[in-house]
Amino acid sequence: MKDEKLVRRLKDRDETALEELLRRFGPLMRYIIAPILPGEQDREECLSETVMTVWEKIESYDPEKGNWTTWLTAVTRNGALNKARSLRRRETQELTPDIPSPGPTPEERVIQQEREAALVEAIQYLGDRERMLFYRKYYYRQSTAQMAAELGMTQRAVEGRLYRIKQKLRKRLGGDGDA
Amino acid sequence: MRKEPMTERDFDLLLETSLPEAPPSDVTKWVNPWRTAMDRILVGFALKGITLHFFLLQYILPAIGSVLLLLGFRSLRKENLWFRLCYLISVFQVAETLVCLVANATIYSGAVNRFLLGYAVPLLGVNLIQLLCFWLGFRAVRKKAGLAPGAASAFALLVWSAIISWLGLLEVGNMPLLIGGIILVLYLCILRCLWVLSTRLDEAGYAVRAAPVRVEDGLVVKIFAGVLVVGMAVGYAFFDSYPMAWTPAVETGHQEIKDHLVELGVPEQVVNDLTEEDLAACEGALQVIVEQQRNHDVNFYGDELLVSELAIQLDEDTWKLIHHFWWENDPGFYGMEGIQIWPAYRQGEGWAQAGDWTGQLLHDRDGQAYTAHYYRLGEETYTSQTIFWGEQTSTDVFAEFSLPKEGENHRGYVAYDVQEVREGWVADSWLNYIHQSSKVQYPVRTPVEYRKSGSWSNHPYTMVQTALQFRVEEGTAKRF
Repeated sequence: MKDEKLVRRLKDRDETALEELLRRFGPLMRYIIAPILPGEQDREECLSETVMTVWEKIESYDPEKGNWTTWLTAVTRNGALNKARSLRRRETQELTPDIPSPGPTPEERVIQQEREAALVEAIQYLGDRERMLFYRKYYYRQSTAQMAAELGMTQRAVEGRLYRIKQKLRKRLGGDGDA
Repeated sequence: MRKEPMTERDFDLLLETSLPEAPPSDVTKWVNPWRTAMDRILVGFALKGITLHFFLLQYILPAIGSVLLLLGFRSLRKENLWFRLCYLISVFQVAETLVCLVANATIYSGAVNRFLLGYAVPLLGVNLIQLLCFWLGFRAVRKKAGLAPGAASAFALLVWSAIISWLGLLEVGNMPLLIGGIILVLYLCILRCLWVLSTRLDEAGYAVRAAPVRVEDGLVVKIFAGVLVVGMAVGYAFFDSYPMAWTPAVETGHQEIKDHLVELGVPEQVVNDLTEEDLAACEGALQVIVEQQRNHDVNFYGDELLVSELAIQLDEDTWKLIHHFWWENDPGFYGMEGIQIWPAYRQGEGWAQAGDWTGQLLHDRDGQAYTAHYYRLGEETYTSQTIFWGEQTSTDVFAEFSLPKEGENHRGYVAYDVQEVREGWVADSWLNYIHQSSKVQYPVRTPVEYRKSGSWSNHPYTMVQTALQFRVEEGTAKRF
């Protein structure tokens, strides 16, 4: 109910709702941004940019398609990944300023969609704990140390489990199964 | 053309870039540094907060609760000072739980629990400190997340626990059903509020930093379970009977006294089992009363326990009362044995105690007799709850011992002297022989603890009861 009220206020262009968004969901957004962006300043910039993105894209949020936290997670992660990409591009351009950045072609987009569907299906065959670990690693981009601490495991155990998950996925996706 | 296998790095990149933009909703719910820890803590408190006295749940649930609290607070221990204190307390509680659970599988169960009962106030205090720290830690997390400190439900749990602890210390055991029901409902309400608060705190929980661990949660649970299982197995295997010091028996002298007692009617077996001191005390015995009772199938193994009750008049007023038992064949199970005697002087009228309690244990092996002192023999005053008479304080004589699996003719006796202080009063001395017939019991209760508890359930003990009753009329003893 609280989330719905906040979304309503954002959709009604109530600027004070941004404060509540930052107060209530700032920790979540920081939690998602931190593993993707190592620099503290970049993280804070990304947080501000994400809040603005939420403000701009709030109309695209449809509760029928998913809950608020999931939507906010996706928006924040995209913002952090874009920020990381632009930072990398900036570094690369500083070294080779003449290389243009290529976008995906329509054919690449179709391949990407097929890959997504195949991977999502393959992930369904993982156990719940494996699935959570997979998402932590490949969606949230969390470090082994962070995953280990939050899951009450040693880093070595996390690495071992991730290795086994990858083996399973390789087989399921038609790969060779060996690294 | 041979296809190049994909490298680990390429496969990682493929996985990273092939995921949909939005994760499933259950993933967003559980990828949180706070939720798992908080769930464990709340379930831990819930399991430790209520004691259910059936199916061993009074042991199982708090043990699981202690481990869950340990794992939960271990994850949050670096978040703030209060959670760190909670963690340290939970380590102590797990150790205490382990000691109690393992001790409960030994004959020292009662002693350990009585020892801990002596520290009930500090131990309850530690529990309350943990709840206080939990409340303060909860507030600190909310504050860190920019929320109002609040956490009234955590404080309510603290107050509830304080009240329950206070009632426990006052030994308010049999509270009216209605009040018990209200307390239970209150407790469930508090837990429900805490649960809701914890869910709301998910937003703040993202600010929590989980502490790294060297030993995995799963391994912690396995270590706990392993220590418990091994400890209990060792307890049942090596600490399930009293340590007895058996030594070869030395042939007693006093042949004249022995012959005299046999002449008076004392069974030869009993005469031969008496110690030098007891034999010497019987010099010049005047008369004897003997009662014998053969108890069949005490242990359902076809075993027979022959109990001989003797009263030997030593002088005009003094009598030596002897309760002698003899396993004529295999007792069936060798665990703990106990003797409870209601002495003839317990009424305080007619007869008075006139000496110390004596006795010994014997058995034969390879043609040699072995003897041992009782593990414990003496008077004890205790309070027990009885259904008909309520709380009762009694002073009885108890003997505790174990018999060796080796050998045969396991036997022994307990003796004491009484003095007739009023003529015509009946002397009645009762023997309750308690025999352990099975190893299966948790927690382990000694025969004496079983008798003192006033329990209606016999398991795993069987009891044989005999009595020696006589009255002296004009210098002659007559069975009553």
